[in-house]
Amino acid sequence: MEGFVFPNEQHVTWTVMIVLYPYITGLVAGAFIVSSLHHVFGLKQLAPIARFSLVSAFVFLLFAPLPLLNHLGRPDRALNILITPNFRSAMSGFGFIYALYAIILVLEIWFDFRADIVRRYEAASGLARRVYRVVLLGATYRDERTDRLDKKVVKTLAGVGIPVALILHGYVGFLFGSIKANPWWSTPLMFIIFIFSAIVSGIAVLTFLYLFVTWNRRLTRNQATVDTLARFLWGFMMVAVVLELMEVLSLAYEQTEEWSVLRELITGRLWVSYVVLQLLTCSLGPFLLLSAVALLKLPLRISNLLVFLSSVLLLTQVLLMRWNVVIGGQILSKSYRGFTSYLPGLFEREGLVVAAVIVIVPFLLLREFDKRFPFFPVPAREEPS
Amino acid sequence: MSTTSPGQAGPPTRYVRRVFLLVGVALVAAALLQRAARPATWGELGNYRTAGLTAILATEPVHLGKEGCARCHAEIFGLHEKDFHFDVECEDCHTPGREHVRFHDRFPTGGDPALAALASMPKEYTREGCLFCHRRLGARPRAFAQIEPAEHYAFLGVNDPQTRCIACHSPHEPIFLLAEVKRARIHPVIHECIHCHDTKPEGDYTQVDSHPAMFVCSDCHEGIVEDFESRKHSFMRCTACHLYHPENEDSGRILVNGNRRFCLLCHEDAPFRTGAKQPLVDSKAHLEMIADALELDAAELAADPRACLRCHLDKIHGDVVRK
Amino acid sequence: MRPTNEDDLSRRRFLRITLAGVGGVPAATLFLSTQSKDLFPPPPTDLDDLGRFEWGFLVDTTRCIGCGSCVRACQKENGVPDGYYRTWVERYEVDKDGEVHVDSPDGAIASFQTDLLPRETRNKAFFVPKLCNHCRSSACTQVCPVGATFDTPDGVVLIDKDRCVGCGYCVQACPYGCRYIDERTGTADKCTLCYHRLHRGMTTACAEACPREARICGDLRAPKSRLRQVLRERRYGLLKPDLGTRPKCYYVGLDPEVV
Repeated sequence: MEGFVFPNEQHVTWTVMIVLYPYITGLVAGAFIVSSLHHVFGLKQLAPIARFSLVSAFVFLLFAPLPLLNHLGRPDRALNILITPNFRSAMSGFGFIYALYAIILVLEIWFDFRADIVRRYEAASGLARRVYRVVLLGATYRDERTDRLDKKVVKTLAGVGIPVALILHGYVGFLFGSIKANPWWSTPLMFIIFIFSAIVSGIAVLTFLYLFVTWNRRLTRNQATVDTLARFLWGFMMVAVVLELMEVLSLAYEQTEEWSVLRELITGRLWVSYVVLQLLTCSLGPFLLLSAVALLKLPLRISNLLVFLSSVLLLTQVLLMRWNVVIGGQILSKSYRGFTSYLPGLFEREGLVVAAVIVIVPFLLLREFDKRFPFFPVPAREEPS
Repeated sequence: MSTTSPGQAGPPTRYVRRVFLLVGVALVAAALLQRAARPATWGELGNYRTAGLTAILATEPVHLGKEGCARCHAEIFGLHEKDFHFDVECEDCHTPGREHVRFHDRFPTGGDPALAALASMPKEYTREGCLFCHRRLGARPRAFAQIEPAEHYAFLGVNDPQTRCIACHSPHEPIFLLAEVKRARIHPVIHECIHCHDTKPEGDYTQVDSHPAMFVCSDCHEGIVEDFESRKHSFMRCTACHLYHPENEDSGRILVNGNRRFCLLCHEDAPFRTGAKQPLVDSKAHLEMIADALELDAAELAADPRACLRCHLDKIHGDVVRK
Repeated sequence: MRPTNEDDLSRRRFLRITLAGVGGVPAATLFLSTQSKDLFPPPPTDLDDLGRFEWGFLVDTTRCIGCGSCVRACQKENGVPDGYYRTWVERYEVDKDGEVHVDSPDGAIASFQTDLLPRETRNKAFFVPKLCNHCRSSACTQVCPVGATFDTPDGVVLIDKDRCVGCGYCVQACPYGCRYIDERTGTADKCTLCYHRLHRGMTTACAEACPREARICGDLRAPKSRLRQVLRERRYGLLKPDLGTRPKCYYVGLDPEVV
C-alpha cells in the first residue's frame, strides 16, 4: 500500500481470474475471425487452418466462463444472470451474448464436420454407429448437393458470427470502459482496443499452434498460410498497439485531474508490467520482428522462427494488457491518492496454479479433438485434403 | 456412398430446417424456464425482489438508544442529561444493550448466571476509550476538550501512567454540571453574537477561532481579574473554572464554579499523585477534621459542594467575590 | 400524500406483497426467539407508505472529532466483518506547502493515535466521515447484473443478499469505495442507512452514536426535519458530483481536497 486508499480497497476484488476471462474470450473472438476470413472473405491461404481455428474458438469458448465461475462469491447462483437480468447493467448481457455465440459456433462446427461424421457413421458399427447417428440428429446421408448446402450454411453462420464475436469481446471491453468511477478504465476507446487485441491474440495463438504442430510433427507446412497469418498479425498488432498508445496519450494530453495519479500509476506500480514488458518488449519487439519478416528477404527458416517468436510475444502482450487493465485499474485507489497492491498466490482458489490449469486445459482438449478429427492430415494418407 | 431414401430425386435437405427448428424450440423452452425460475415477489416494486427489502426492514436493531437505558437506570440518566456528556450515547461506552435488556426483562430476579454473564455490559470504559474522543489531535476542532495524556498527567502530578480517567472524572457527571437549562447561552447578559461582535468575523464565521477577540474577561471584570492575578492560582485561566464561548453557540454556558470536586481533581490525595506540585489532602478525613474542630454539622459540610471555598477562597479570589 | 383511486389499488397490492414478504426472517437473538414487543417499535407493514419518505444524510465535517464512535456502532449494529467498513472516518492534514496527507487507520475504528504531521508543518487538519451516499442515480444499482442491488421507494440503495452472485462489479462501479465482498457470505455488502431502524422511527446507528451531532439522517421530504433545516442554513458539498451519481449524502464544510 502506498499513499491513501479507501479502507475497503485494501482487498483487490477482481483477481487474476478476471485477467484470464477477457484473455480467453479474446482468443475465442480472434480465432473465430480467422476462420471467417476464410469462410466469408474467401482467403484461400487460410483454408488449411480454417477448421482448426473454428474448433479452437469453440474450445476456448467452453473455458471462458470457468474463471468467472471460479471468481464468483456464489457460483451456485450463476444462472441468476439469465433468470433475473438487470438490463441496465452491461454485465447482464453476458449470458445472452455468450449463449447466442455458443449456438452459432456449435451449429457452424456441426455443419462443417457433418460430411466427415457421415463418413465415419458409414464405416462404424455397433455403439459408435449409434452415437454418430445421434450426433447427426438422424441425418445420416450426404452427397455433393448436401456438401454444398452445408458449406453455404457454414458461410452464412460465419458471416453472422463475425458481428457476434466482435460484440462478445467488445462487450468485455465495454464492461471496463463504462466504469466511470475508474479513470484507468473509463474511456470509450476501451472496447475498440479490446476488439483489436482480441483479433491479435486469436491470430497469434493460431500462428503459434500451426508452426508448433508442423514443426513438432515434421509436417509440410503451407508457407502461404504462415505468410498470410504473419501479415495479418503485423497489421492488426499495429492498430491494437497504436490504439492503446492513443488512449494513454489522450489522457496525458487532456491533463485532467486524474492524470497526475495515472502518471504515477504508469511510472510506478505498472512500470515493469506495462511500460517495460507490455509496450517495450512485447509490442515493440514483435513489431520490429514482423516488420523484418515483411520487408526483408530472409531465409525461410529464419523468417518462420521470427514469426513464431512474434506470436509468442504477442500472446504475452495481450495477456499483459489484460493484467494491466484489470489489476492496474484496481490497485489505483478511487481516492486518487494512493495505490494498493496485488499478487496472486500460488495455490489459493484464485491462484496461479488454477489459472495455469484453466489456460492449459483448452489446448489439451484441442489435442484430444485432433486425435479424433485430425486438423492437419498427414499427406501420406489417401484421403483428399 | 451416401444413404438416400428410395424414390427421392436428391438427398433430403430437411435436416437443415430440423436443426434450426431444434435450436428454436430450445430457445423457447429456455425462455419459458426463465419465467418459471423467477423468484417469488420479483418485480413488484421494481426490478428486484420485494422480499429482499422486507427482510432488511424486519431486521432487529441492536442499539437501544439512551431512552431505552433510562427505563431502568433513571437516576444515572438524570445525571447524564445534565452533564456535558449529554450527547454521548450510553451504548457508545457500554456497548449495545439489546440482549442485556432482554435478559432482565425475562428474568427480573436474575436467571442463569451463564446467561447473565453474556448479558452483562462493560461497566467502565478503558482509558483508551476516553481518549478516542479526548486525545489531542491536530485535526480535532480546537475548542473541543482534548489532552495529551503525558502532559495532562504531568500537569496534575499524576505519576502512574496507567491511571484511568475515571479516577478523577466521573463519566456521568464530570466537573461541570450544566445549569438547569441545558443549552444555556454564553453568558447571562452577553449571549448574542452582536453583544460583542459588532463587526463581521474575518474568515469562516462557523469557526469560532477566526472570530476577532472582541473582549477579554478583564474588560468587564477588571477588579476580579487583577485580584486573581495576585493569588496562588494565577497560573490558571479564568476559563479553567468559568467555561465560556465553547465552539458552538448553542451549548455554551458560564459557570460560577467552586465545585469541590473540581478542586479535588488536583488536590485529592491519591496513590497515583506525587504532591510535588500541589498540596494534597484526603478530603473525607480533612472535612471530618474541620467539622470536628469548628464544631460544624459534619453531614452538612460533607454535602456542601462549595465546602473548599469556605476556607480557601483566598487562594483564588479576594473579597471581590460574592459569598 | 397522494390520495387517488389508483393509489388504493396499489395499496391492496402492496398489502399482499407485505404478507408474503415479512415472514421467515431469522432474528439472530440470544434469549428470545420472538421479538420483544416494547423494546423496538415494529417495522412498517404497509410498503406503500415507504414512498412518502426520501432519506438523506448530512455530515458536518466541521463538527467531527474523529472519535470513531460511528464506526464502532455501525460494526456492532450491522455485524460488519473485520477489515471492511460500511462507514469510516478519514483524516486530512494539509502541510505548509499545500500537500495533502490522508489516512484512515482501520477506518478509524479505534480513533487516531498520533498526528500525521508535526505541528510546525501542519497548516490545516480536519476529519471527514464517509458512508454510502445512497445516490439517486447510483452506479452500483446500474451495474448489478442480477437485480440484487436495488433502490427502495424511499431512496435507499440496498442489497438482496439472497440474489447477489458476488461478481464484484458493483464494488468496481462505486466511485466512493463504499462496497466490499463479504467473504463470509460471498456476496456484496454496504451501508443500508440502517433501513431496519429508520422505519421504526429510530435514526441510524452511526448518527445516534455520534457525540457531536456531526451526522444527521433525515427525511428530505419533510421540510421541518433537522436535515432540511441544516441544509437550508449551511453551505454544503457533494462527493464527486461530476460523476452524475447525484448523491444524497451532504457534506457541510467540504474542502476540495476531499474526494
